[in-house]
Amino acid sequence: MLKSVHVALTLAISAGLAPFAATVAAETVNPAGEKLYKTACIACHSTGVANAPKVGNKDAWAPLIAKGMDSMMAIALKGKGAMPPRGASSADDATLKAAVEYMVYASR
Amino acid sequence: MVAPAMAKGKSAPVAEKFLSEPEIAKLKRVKVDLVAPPMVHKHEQVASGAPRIVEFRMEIEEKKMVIDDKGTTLQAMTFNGSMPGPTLVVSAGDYVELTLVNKASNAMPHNVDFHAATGALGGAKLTNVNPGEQVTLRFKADRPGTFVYHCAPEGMVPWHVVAGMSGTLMVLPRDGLKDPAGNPLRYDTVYTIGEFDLYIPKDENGKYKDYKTLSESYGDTVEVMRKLVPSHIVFNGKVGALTGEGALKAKVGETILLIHSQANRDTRPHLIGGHGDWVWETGKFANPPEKDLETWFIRGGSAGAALYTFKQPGVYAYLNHNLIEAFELGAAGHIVVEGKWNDDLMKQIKAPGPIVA
Repeated sequence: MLKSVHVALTLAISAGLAPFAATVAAETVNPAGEKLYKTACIACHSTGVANAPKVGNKDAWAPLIAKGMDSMMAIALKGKGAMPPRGASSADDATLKAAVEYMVYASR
Repeated sequence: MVAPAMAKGKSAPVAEKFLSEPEIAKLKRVKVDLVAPPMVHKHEQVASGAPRIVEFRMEIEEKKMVIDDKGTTLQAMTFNGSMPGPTLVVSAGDYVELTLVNKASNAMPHNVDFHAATGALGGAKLTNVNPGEQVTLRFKADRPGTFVYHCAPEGMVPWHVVAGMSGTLMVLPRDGLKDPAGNPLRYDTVYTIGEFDLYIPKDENGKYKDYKTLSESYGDTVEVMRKLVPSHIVFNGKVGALTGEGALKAKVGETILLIHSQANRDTRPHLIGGHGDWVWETGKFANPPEKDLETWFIRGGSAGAALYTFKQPGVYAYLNHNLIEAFELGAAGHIVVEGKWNDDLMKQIKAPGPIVA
């Protein structure tokens, strides 16, 4: 119990979206997603390097989110433009999906 | 905004001539094959003809490199596979035409910012290349000196620089180097040294972390970078790269030019047992050099140059004279000098022995 509260708190602080993050944590968040984001994806997606959709930028993410998770996962797996396959990480599919979910939640 | 008509009517005190595209097209072209540091490609110290277009090609290579004798690794990014990237040499007034290749096996977008160039963030804006792409940039090298070049992709500049992506462009005056009185200064050999402050993350047990991929090293590395305390400071990519087999070589009577670049952080080069005979510590040859320096100073984000003629044989150390940075963190190399000892300059009058009254 204590642990999950801690996770929720960390998410809330890092995402700067307290009410929303708490909801997510209560549901199905895979902490590996946030971890991968902060390890690797953040290099481009925090500032929008090479036109990467910035995490937290609703307008940039809306069309991607509209196309659905399968479409976003296809980009995450195969890469697109300056985005390397798997974001140049060695993460497995489940972790990648969790990272995409993390970015999506933080960008809605 | 200055109106073009005004600029045309008045001639500037220093005649600056801008060539048109057809005029540039008539210039002679030469292609230069680059060599790996600490060596520098063959070049003339005094330009023999009119300005030329000098063609270079560099390939970006991301790779994991071992940076000390304990097996610590860096997820490095390099120009041409080396840290620093190769030194490019032209004469003032020449045009540099660089083809930058981002190999398909790389993961990241890259570009290049030349401190010697004018406009478009040093060329960075015009050279953004994704893996699998190449680009060609031309610029006029109109200022003499040693200048840093480095990668500068918008949004992640410091990471690419501290991971290895920098080198030197040396633009020689057309009539060669001079002392403050205008006498010619010439070198027999030129070496190029790139000093790199590295920020390798540690795990919870205090051991340096090893990463499977370049991008996975990012998050932790940025945290170490923000503390502004390097884990290692190395010459040419590795602790001890310029010692033992890698030591620089010279002979008594030989004049060497030592080019020293640091793209991110200040350093203070010193040659133990020697000096800087003539030093351009800010690296710009139109300024008079300083004489007899014990230690000189390279500003983070610049390259400087020092001339020295060896007078004694032996093994010299060339280092960053914050001695912790040199001997604990790695910023030191050796120069092995052959020749005859000069007793007039130095002599051991009595060898160490017991104290006598």
